[in-house]
Amino acid sequence: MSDPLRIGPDAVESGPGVSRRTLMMATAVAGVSTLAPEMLAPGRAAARALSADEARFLAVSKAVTGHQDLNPDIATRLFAAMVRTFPGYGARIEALSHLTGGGGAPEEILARAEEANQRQTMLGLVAAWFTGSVQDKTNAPMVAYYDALMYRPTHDALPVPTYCFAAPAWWTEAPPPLGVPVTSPVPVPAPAPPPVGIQSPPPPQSKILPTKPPAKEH
Amino acid sequence: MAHPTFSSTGDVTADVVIVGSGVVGAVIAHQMAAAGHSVVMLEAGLRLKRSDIVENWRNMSFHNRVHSDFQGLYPQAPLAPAPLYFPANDYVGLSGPDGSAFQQGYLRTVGGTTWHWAASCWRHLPADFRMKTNYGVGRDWAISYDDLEPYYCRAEEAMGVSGPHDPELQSPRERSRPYPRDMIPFGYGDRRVAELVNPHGFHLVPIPQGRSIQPFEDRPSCCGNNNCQPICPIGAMYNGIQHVVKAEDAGAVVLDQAVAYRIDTDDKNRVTAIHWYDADKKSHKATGRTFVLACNGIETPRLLLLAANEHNPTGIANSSDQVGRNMMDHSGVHATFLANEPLWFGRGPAQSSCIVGPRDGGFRSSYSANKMILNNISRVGPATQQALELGLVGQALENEIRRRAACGVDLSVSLEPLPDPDNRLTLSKTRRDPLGLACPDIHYDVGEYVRKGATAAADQIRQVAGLLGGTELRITTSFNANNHIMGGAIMGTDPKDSVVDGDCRAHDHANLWLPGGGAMPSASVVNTTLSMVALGIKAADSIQADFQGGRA
Amino acid sequence: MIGKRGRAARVRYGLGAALGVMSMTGIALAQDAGGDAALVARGSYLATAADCAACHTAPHGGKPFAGGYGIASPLGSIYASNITPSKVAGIGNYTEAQFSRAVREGIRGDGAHLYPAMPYTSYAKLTDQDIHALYAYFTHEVRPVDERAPVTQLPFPFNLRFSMMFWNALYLDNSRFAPDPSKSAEVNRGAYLAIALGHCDTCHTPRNVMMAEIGGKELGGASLGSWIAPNVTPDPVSGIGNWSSDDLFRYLKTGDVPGKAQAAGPMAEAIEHSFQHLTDDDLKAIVAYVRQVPAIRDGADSRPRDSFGVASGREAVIRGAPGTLDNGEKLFSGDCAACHQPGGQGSKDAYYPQLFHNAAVGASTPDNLIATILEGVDRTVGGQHVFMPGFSRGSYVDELSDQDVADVGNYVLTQFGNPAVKISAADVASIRHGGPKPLLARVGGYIVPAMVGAAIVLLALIGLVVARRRKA
Repeated sequence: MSDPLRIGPDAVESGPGVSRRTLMMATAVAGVSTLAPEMLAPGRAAARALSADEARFLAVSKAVTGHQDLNPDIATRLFAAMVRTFPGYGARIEALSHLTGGGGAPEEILARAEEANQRQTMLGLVAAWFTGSVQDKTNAPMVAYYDALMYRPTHDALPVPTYCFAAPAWWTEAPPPLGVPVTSPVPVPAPAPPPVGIQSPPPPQSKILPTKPPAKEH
Repeated sequence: MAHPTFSSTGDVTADVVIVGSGVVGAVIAHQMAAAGHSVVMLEAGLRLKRSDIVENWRNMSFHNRVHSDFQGLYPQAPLAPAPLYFPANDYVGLSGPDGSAFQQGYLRTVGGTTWHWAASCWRHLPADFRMKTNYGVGRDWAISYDDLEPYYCRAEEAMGVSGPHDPELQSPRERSRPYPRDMIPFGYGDRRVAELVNPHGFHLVPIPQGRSIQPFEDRPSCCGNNNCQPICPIGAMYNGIQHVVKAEDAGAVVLDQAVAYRIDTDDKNRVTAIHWYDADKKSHKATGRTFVLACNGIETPRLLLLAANEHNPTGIANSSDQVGRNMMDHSGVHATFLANEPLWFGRGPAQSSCIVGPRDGGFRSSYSANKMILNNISRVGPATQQALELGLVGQALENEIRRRAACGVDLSVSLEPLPDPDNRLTLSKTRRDPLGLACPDIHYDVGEYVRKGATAAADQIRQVAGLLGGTELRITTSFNANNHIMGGAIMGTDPKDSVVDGDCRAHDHANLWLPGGGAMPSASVVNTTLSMVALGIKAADSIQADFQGGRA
Repeated sequence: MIGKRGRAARVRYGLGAALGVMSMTGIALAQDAGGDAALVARGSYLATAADCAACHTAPHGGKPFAGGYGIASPLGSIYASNITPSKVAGIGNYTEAQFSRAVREGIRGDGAHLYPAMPYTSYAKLTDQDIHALYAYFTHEVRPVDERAPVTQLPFPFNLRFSMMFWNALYLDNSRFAPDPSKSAEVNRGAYLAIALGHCDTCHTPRNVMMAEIGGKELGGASLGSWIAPNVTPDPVSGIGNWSSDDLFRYLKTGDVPGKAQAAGPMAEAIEHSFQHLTDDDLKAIVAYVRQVPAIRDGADSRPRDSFGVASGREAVIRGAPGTLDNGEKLFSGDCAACHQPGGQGSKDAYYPQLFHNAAVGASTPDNLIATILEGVDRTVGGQHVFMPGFSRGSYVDELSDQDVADVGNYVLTQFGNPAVKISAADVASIRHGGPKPLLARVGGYIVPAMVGAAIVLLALIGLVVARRRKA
């Protein structure tokens, strides 16, 4: 599409298999929130400048998520919700900011956070940006749905539910390549043992099901 | 065009008085109004705007959404509570070995629970109508598949169902007319799983669905935004509200926030009036020639029991003592695992294909059949939850979300309970709704038949998971509800052990019909809505026949 | 009830778009045996392109050209006649001269006058060759249907068909199309299609109180009741001067030009039933013609209607704060954003169109935005059925009140369109009931029959006045 206004986050044709640098550059160019000033939407809530605390929260958030294009409006609102939910949250962000100041990838920051006993704060902040909710609890405050970061890794393949993806029957087309290793990057916990109620012998190797295929019966 | 007549005090008279404005009530209302009869519908709940429901869902917390809080986004009328689980409101009191398996999510709102169904439009199999005769378990229906087949066709046509034209993909194949639209085309995941499991007898077929990829009447095309449950944001999925609108266009009147609570009968035990409370707790009376209770599988028996009167001291339509008994649902389990290749569920509508190989067979004489839905609900939410639990950040986190979303599989497995009189809905002696009406209590035990069926299903699940190279296989450890509530106003030929006849007419009351899931004497393993609507249309035909024959 | 749009709007363009195209290009058609088939085929193309079926084939499965479709007018239904070659019910007994007279002069085989719901004033421009081809098609190819169409019965004095003589005396210019030698062959061909055959000007040229097109305002834009046919002159601000020829071609062929406009209402019908079936050369000729008519500027316009608006960033501030939204924003997010996306950018394949840089949202009048919200979009082109549900009474999606439509419309205008334009609930009520022309339009899209009716009323009044004077 030649019209630059048509390019939004949806138009970024890259999965996480693409390098982070490429992805970030693409989203920085294409993201609505980084459009040229005259194209900025009139509705930005934080027309005021961010407070020092909010600015620090945004900077820390960018560092721990690895996304430079985080929306300042969402940052402002998420910060307020976190402060309301977690007593002393401002101090925890301040502590985290000492670790993010050194730069580096989120993995490196996490290592430093672990040493500084800030691991849960950092993971909680990452989770909030990814889920759009302050925590994974019933009726926890939320600030983002469409813009929750969890939808970005699959934006080329899956709709954000409730939002139409493309013309009807688009799903019959081949999905994009996975682009990431199909095996788990970390050891995963063993599955829970089968429940007693439906305990059963080991699965049959290749035998036909103990049921008649209905096709033969009708 | 005939309209109901209202008195100055707000009482109403109509040819047909219908309690409940869900899909069954609305389809009947439309048919009767279109035939020139005056129709009034009493709906306990609110009339909602789709846009509000959509926004409520998007504004829900991640936790609620990822755990399928399909009730909380629907505002409830202050006087007509319905179940809530985040947190639980205990409107329905549950007990028994599997009480927790009966945590139903139904709506009391204009248009009913099809606001948040997934639009699966299955037919029962012919064998499902003869469980006692064929397999020596359960009950036979008062009617046969052949009796209901024309009504299945009309229900499919009313709801604009897309189903496979290819007989190989039909379940069952016995059809007198084609589906109104061909099947919703498979996505990649359905095609790939079919390729892998069908050689082993699993028989993966498309789910017949109340949506279409071309406009149907004034209903837009499904765009696969993957949010059928808990709300289709664009109205591409059939909802009962569509027939509410059609009924209103034909002259019917819907009263929302009208909670029915009392039923008057005359000396011939014909129903003469139904009383309701309005939003100000003021009581009104609806008189008419015929009456229909289509309030869903829990609220219909509850109302019948609540409305016990002098002539019917154990409840309306309850001389058999079967009202509220035989409560059934497709008590099910979920199985999740990660395939060893990307399948990308979550592209297209939330339901797409289903394994029906274990739907029927001689084994049904000893244990339950099952069907396994390949849930096509996006796995991004659970994938995110799992990837975050692993403590990942940065690129590793995003890769893991993508991998788990692409490879994740969720099987929703439905089992078939048998009608058991001890699985019973009664009126609570301790809990009352804001109008002072007793809340429902339900005692539920899925029974050995289902437990044995679950064991067999677990074997099949492991086999399916094995064929897909599954890891992290998890099978839920307790049965879950599927909101397919059946049995509480059970159909039969003998008035001594059943509540309604083959037209869903109450044995005890010549002008009272109780169509819907409550009438179904066997559950099969498939979603009930199409059967409920078919029964509703059959009931409407019998009501019309009464009018034409001067019997009403 | 949505989806109840009449299709009488098609009457406005229901003239032969491509009629005479081949004769315009100077292709000589052999009249030998092989030529008969070619002649019939050409007649078929002309009739299809002309969309005779718009009126003469009843909707929802009516037999081709058997008539029976009642064109609503304020005076009553005017029924399209059976134009199959049936000798008992159709035009099977017509000679070519009678056929020509009916088509170009509005006089039936029995000598009675047609109401100008049949657009013979435009067809008068048809060449003899094209009349010949159409006659060949209707008499040799169309299957006869021996079922009479309902008889039009307008009340007195409008049932006096001879009164149309007065009207014809004023408005029927019974002369054939004459090419302008100063213009290219392509432009002349386009003019024949676009104007001489009434395909564009019927809707897009404003009319005076006598329903005559206003001189010097050609294609300057006009109201059709619920819908606006916009200024399509080459003016770069008020018209389509900022569109490329490819854009215009694509619009006529598909009704969809991402980043500019999508066809709805009567224009969607025109594209569905007529334009998409024209040859590419014919469409290019129409484009060439339209691009050279005199530009008309409306002083109220400051920039092109498809140049307004940007993506919205509101999603970032509304989520999780439901109590704080105004009604328009809430409705936008709940009813519109699923397809058009929270930022209004549409789906990435442009199937669901963007709302900024969208002519319906940037226009200086909100009629088409309101009509789209109420009636939706329904356009089948190239086998693809594009369907946006409407939000009026009976909508399966959501029923919006006049105030709701005003609120969501104003939100859309503010976020994505021309912020100077405002919608009131009264505006919505007006569009809902057929638009701001109570004298003429009973139902949106029925403007031509309404015009006909109004013209008849006016003429009847004139006639009465004249008669009284004579008596006096």
